[in-house]
Amino acid sequence: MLKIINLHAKVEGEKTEILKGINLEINQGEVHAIMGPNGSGKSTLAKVIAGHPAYEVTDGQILFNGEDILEMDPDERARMGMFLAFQYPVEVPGVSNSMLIRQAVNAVKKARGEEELDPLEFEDFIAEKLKLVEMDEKFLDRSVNAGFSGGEKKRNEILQLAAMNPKLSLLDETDSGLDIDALRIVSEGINSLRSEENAFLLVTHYQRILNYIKPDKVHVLMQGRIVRSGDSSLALELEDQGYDWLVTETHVNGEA
Amino acid sequence: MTVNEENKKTHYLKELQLASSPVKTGVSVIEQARLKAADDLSIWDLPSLRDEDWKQFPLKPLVRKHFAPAPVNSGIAHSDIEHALITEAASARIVIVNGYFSPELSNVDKLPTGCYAGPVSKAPINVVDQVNNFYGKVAQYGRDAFTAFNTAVTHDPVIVFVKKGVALENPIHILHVTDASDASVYTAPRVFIYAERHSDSTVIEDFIGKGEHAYFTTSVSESVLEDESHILHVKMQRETAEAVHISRVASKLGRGSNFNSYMISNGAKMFRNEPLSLVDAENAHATIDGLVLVDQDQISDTHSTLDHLKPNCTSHQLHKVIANGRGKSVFNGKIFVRKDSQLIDAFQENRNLLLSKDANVFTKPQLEIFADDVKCSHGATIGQLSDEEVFYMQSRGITKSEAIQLLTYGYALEVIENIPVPSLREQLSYNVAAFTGASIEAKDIV
Repeated sequence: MLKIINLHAKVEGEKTEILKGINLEINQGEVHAIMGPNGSGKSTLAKVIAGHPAYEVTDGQILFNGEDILEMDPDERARMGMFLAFQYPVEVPGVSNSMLIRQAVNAVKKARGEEELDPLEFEDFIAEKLKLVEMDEKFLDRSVNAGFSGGEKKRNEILQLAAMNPKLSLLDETDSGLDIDALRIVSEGINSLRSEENAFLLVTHYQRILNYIKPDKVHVLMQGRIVRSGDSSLALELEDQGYDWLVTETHVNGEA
Repeated sequence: MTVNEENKKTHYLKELQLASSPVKTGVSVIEQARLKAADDLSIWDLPSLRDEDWKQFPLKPLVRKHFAPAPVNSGIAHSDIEHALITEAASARIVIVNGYFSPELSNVDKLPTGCYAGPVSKAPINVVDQVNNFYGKVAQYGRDAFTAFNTAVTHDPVIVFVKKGVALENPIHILHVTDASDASVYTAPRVFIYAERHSDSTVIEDFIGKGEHAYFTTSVSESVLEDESHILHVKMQRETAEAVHISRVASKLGRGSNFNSYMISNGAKMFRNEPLSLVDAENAHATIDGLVLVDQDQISDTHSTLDHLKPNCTSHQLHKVIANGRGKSVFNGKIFVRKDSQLIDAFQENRNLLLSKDANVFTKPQLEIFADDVKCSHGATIGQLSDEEVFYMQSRGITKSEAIQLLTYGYALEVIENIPVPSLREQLSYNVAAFTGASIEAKDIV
């Protein structure tokens, strides 16, 4: 579903590369976790895949369902079935949550050649999704993320994810700042959305969320490179030992 | 500038005034003010671009044209104003056509006993007493030719009088219509609002036009608030694209009173708003928020004055602007805190959103504080939408242009959402959406 080949990227207008040759392949039905210390490039990777305009890809390819998406705008990628759950969801005063989500859902439906939802149909449609993230319907009438608590913002991201039903979901530190209840709700929401048809990429600093969502593969990103990949036991190793041993190891191997 | 042009300018408003034949009101203070203002017009000049307060508001488009007094018999029918009507104000609607009160289009049957809304010539004696006490004393504009012009040529001012202790359930809608279907005309509507103690009211002053010709509106509104009264005042300027609109909204606040004013402007070729709030007793609060939408060659000019004359008061001014095309917006917000006005909390913010390279914004907060124990915050920002916001929307499958429309709509709504009249909020939301090109459904309105 997603194939990343030798991806290099930097902040637009700056010299230092943040991603220095990423290779990654995610297949349908898989959940991958990207872990790594602060500043390793995890969030950058998620944003580059989604098409954030602040980054410039200097080399490599990103293939989504076999198509090279690097020249595509973020909204085209989204309409193709990609979704980014933000680490810091943006507040949009004056635009109601229901307005944003309905337009988002209809944009995707239109791209798929499906019938768009009118406001009444949307009401029924979204009611189901609200249950999934245990959100009250009054959140729909409020401005997007404005005045939401940290946990509410993250749940709202998962609500949007559920509504848009993407093929590939990129979750950028969705677990950070969540209390244990919110983490459970968010994780259960994601688990119930997992299927053989879609895939998830979880970017996370901590192993904690992986107690709830079991990944098929775990990758460790350090200094812009994937330094190790493994199954879910790798996450536990990192939890026990931190990242330092990997630094030493990569250094010994002369890869740093 | 040649001597000839200079002369022509000097006498411009005087010439217009000489052509007028204002309706006699029978109210002495108004008739006296009229005579004095007519004399003042012989002496007072129109401001020129050399005048600091007017240098961004060229009056040439005005003085190049001849405007005749708008005639009393106009063909304005119910169908011409239907789009602007406010459901909640169905039984408290005053329609002024070309400056004349229209009994056919107005409906003020259901006001509570002791309250009045209508022309001063028909007002009860106790109401006229307050007019005599305060008319022309709140709208203090010094040597200002436009206020003088309005005072001299206005017909039969609209009076709103809210009796002591009465909380009006429904808003009062004063709809000023100018008919420029047949010729270039001028109108000079005038409103006087008097709120007795402990009263609570919402008054909407609304300006629309009809026809393709240019027209010129000079409006003056005065509000007097007795102790602990509340007025929520909305001024909507949605004139036609050929209009020149110059307006003053003045208020004088009593002890513990509240004057909350929201000015929404998106019509006219060029317009100027001059809010003036005299916070003249303790524990009073004034809000003068504004929303300006300018596109093409529209010019908006706001010169506001918030005058804290007494201690222990608060004020709020959020002035938001969206400028597109070659639109130009000017903001000069004066806040005075007088020497003995301690413990004032004044907030001022001017935010400007530029949607095109050719749009222009000038902003000048002007705080003059003579007391030493006050809290006054002010800020002015000029910018575009943030990339992060646009990217957020795009990552939801919404195209960049749709994202910009939605975000602009949201930006404008921060002012609109304070207006406690649902059908008006709805109309304004559609206006804003039309301006930004955002597509909204009735359900989306906050």
